[in-house]
Amino acid sequence: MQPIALIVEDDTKLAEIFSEAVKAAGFEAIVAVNGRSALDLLPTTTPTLILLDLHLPDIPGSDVLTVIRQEAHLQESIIMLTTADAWLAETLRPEVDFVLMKPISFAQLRDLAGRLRPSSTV
Amino acid sequence: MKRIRRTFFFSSLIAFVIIAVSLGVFVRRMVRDNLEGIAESKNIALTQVFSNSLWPAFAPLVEDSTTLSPEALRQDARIPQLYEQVSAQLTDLSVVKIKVYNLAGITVFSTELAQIGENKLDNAGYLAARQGDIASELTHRDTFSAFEQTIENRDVFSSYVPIYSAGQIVGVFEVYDDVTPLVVRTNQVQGLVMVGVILLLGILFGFLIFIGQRTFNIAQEQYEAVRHSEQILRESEQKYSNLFHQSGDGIFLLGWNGRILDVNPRIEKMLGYTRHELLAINLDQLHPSDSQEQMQQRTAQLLQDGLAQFEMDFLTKEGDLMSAEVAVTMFELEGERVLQGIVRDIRERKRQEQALLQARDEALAASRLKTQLLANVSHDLRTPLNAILGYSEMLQAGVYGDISARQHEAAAQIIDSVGHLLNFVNNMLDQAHLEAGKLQLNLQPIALLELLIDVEELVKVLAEAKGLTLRSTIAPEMPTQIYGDRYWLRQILTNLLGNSIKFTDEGAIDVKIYPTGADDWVIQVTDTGIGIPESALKRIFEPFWQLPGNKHKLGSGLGLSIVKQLTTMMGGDVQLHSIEGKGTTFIVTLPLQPVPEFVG
Repeated sequence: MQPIALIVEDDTKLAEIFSEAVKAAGFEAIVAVNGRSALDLLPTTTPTLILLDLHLPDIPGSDVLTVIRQEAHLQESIIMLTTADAWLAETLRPEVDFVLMKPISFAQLRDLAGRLRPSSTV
Repeated sequence: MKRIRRTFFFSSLIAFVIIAVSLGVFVRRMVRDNLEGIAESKNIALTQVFSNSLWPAFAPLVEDSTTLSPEALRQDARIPQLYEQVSAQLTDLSVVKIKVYNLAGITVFSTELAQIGENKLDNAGYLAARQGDIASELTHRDTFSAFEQTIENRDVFSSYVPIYSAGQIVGVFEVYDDVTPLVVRTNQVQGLVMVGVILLLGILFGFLIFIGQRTFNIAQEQYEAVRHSEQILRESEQKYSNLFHQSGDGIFLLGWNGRILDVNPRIEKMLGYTRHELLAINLDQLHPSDSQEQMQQRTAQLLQDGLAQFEMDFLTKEGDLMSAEVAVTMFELEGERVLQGIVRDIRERKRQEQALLQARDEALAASRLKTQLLANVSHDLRTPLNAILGYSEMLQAGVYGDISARQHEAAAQIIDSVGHLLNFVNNMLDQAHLEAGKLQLNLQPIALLELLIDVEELVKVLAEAKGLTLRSTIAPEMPTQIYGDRYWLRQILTNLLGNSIKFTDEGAIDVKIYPTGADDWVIQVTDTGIGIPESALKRIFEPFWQLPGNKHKLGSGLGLSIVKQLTTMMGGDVQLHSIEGKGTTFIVTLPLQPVPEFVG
């Protein structure tokens, strides 16, 4: 069973690139195209990796982050913020594991995700 | 002043001459009286001698004379005898003539024989003597008959003296005494006295003139001094008057009670009131908008510093407000406190200030708009760029199936171009942030290794695309974590590395991080690129400046400028060494703030 990577990204092209990158690193990719669908998915999903866009069309990514932090079964999840806003990213950096500045390179994400995959130690 | 001196001199002189003449006359009279007194006493004494010794011889003749004719009297035989007796008596005396008269006025005897028989009834001297008085007279005679001889140029003192016998006046004796030696001596004494007096007066006069001169000199000096100070005062008044009337600033004089005492023409022009109107107006009417508190504040300032400077609005006669800068000073005039206010119309200046402020606000607004626009543009560029980059990489990685070597190369070109474009966009955004003054340092612990790997990841694609080696080392003495602004440190590293990659076509980029001393640390980036010509070193850190004629045109010209600005802001410094054709080394020195490491 592959580890799950949840990709919260409203831009479908980027969502595809990120999905392909994590898949190449051995994850199963689940995409949420807005904040609401992400929040719907979270209670029933336990992703190893969460890629969270801070600029979502419906609710702010930071609110989604707050919910993730409150969910007991998500305490072990590795959180990567993806944003084009360096300022916002820096303020949230202490709360998360990684901050990735857009544009995010396919290879960069693939390699990083590969290093973080739990089975990679096997 | 000269006239007063002359008047003083001449009036003194006249006074002294009058005193000298008066004294002369007085002395002369006194001496004369004295002389006459002496001579008269002598004549009286002589008469007594005559009465005692010769009268018995004369008495019969005098008795007979009343009956004799003048001719008979002259022929009388007793005359020669009597003459002999008189002559004998008068030997060695200064008496030059004697005469004897009977009570009828007939000359009974005279040492000048020809005069015997003459009648003297009309002679006042004789008549006085007949009454019992003595009458004397001093006369000067050019010629005088004495004892039958003529003497010349003599002073003769003659006295009519009554002759008494048994208490009765029996005749009159006239005696002529030659007092010439006495007169001469007296004149000498008188002359000496006069010389003495004149000398004394002369000395006194000289002394008086001397004192007078001294007094006049002192008076003159004082007069000059007073005149001089008056002149200075006049000039000073003239200067103030000119200043007051021709000043470009308005000037008003104010009593302590707020009453306007005087204004200059400039104030009239400024406020539209005539001087006459202003002197009748209450000052409060001219600045109705000032509060009581403001007025008290100004008064306090004036009393404390002797000067109050402030801006205020005057209400002109036309009803306009005139902004003015006012400087008030205080001085005493005839025991009263007077305020002097200098008023400068600053409406034009205010207008200019206002225009300047407006221009600044507009410029700021424009700048804000520009910053916002740049931020939006940058942001909106990132998403499609991310798609271009991602899909190109996926193509290259074979996600969509195998591709040929040429297709791989094409994908690499796309990725390279996206890298440049991204760099450009990032720099634009950073510059926009810097220009907006929004930049604040957000200090937090940073793991340098992580930061370095992060940046390397970012630029690795670009370096690899050009076949460049990217090497980096962190000195072991360097603390694992330091305090810093992660975002901006990342920008510094990214820009330095990006710049080196851009201008290096083959070789390597070396990054070294190490501490210098206890307080600083260094990011050193060395490349083997084209280098920077000497002439460009000065301008290399200017925003938007690019190396002229360089073939690597794709760039904003902002990267190094941002490095410089950020470094300066962090309290650091950036230096560079470059050899054209060999390469460049950038050395960024920053203050070191290590994060304490807890053991265990």
